[in-house]
Amino acid sequence: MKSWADQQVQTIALVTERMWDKKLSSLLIMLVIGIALCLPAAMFSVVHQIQTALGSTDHKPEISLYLKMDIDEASKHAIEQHLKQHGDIAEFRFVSKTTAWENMKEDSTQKEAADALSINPLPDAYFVVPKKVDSDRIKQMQKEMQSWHGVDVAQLDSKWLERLDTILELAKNLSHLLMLLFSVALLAIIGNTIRLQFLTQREEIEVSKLIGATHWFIRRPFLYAGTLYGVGGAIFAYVLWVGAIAFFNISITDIADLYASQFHLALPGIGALFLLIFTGAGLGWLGAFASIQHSLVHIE
Amino acid sequence: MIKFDQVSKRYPGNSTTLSNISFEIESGKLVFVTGISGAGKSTLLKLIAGLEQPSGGTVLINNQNVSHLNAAAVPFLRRKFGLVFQDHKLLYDRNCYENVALPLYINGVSADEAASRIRAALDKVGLLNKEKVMPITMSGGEQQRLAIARAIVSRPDCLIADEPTGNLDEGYANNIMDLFYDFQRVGVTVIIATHEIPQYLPEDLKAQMQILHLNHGELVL
Ligand SMILES: Nc1ncnc2c1ncn2[C@@H]1O[C@H](COP(=O)(O)OP(=O)(O)OP(=O)(O)O)[C@@H](O)[C@H]1O
Ligand SMILES: [Mg+2]
Repeated sequence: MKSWADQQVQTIALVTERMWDKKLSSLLIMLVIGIALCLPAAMFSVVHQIQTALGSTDHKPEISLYLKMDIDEASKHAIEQHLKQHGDIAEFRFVSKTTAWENMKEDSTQKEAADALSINPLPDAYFVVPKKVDSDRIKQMQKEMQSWHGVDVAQLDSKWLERLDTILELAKNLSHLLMLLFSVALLAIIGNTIRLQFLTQREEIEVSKLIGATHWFIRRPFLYAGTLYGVGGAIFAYVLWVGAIAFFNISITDIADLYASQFHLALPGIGALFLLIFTGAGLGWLGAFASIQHSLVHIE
Repeated sequence: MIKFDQVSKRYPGNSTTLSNISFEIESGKLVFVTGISGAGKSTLLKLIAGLEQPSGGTVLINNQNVSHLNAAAVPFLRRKFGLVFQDHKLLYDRNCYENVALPLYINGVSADEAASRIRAALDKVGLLNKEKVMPITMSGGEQQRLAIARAIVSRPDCLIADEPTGNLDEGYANNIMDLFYDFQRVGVTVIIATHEIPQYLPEDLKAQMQILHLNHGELVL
């Protein structure tokens, strides 16, 4: 056990020494890995934050229930009961046809239209705010309410929000796709770097094999190298991410101020750093392993 | 300890290199594998050390059949031997110390213990003062000594050397042979490939000597 730990320490020392000898190229590799890790992660995080921000604003989707003109009191009462007992409703308010009519008359922009009419054309209405901003659920609620007796039209407002949500969802999926693509690119970058290192140490590897080195022994320094590249890349990614968000927050302040909005993007936390390191190390190890496996077959 | 039974070896695309080789080497012997160039000496040594697998027959090392060892077990067979290759196979981008360190590193010997063993091995071959020297700057004889230091540093029971005095002058060659004789005297099995049995051979070793003479891939008794 001690000798095992000893070997790991020796290997890490050897690998870091080799990286130190080639500072510039090691840093460049890590930078490339950093960019590849940073882009999808930051994109995912930003999209996610915008989504949550929208969910918490006043622009909550609303369902307007316009009741039939000839609705009887019993049906109206039933609808009120339905609304009160509905689990997914955050709040609702009732606007009677008379109130609506008066509001319309008071509103200067609509006054003319209202005066032209002799009788009140407006129905009674409920305005319902659902609890969760989940477009599927809300659509379902809208359909449900449409089927209630006495309801003329159940209309879903904030279609724009729904549309934005769809776009954000698309962006999120895109960031997943990017993660996948960049992971493949990362594996290729690390694999190729390790392959070149293997070639420069080929002689040593061949001699080592002749005098009894196992494949694990030969792999070990390369696996550490791949892992270290990944970890270095993860740290770069974190720094780039923080930098990009900080820059964004500075430039967004002006716009946000205009709308009296408090919106700003959160900096990635320690959890994000660990996730990046874990991902980078994992991909680095995997890329190195695949590459060495390929090279070992060739020197047999 | 080493037993060949009807062993043959054919390299792909080549005519038979070794055919029907049977012999036995007991522990502690001094063995000369002789024959002209191309007779198959190196091939025989490689079969013993697990660097090549036989095409036919069985090879027993310490009563273990190693003819068709699986790939994962081969490295552990190789570690039983100290090998001096015909072309040295030194690492020219590493200094003497690091070259000798390689087998210990492979065997997982701790750095502290390795240091004293490496110095002992270098001392044994008379290169202690050249620890930091790069092998490329050394003479052929010195490189040969370095190769021997690397072979003995992990204290193998069996030392295998392929033409260790190949192109050295006689005085230097005898020096090198003395190193091997010393190991034989302390109980190490020593197997040396050479064109001819060396002239320089102390009387006390003759009783332990064994000769395997190869002629066109066949053992001549
Ligand atoms: N890896 C190989 N692939 C194909 N043929 C080989 C290989 N190694 C050796 N041979 C052939 O096997 C025969 C014996 O070679 P080997 O190296 O064993 O001879 P040797 O007795 O050691 O000769 P030398 O004294 O020149 O070292 C030769 O004909 C050689 O061409
Ligand atoms: Mg030979």
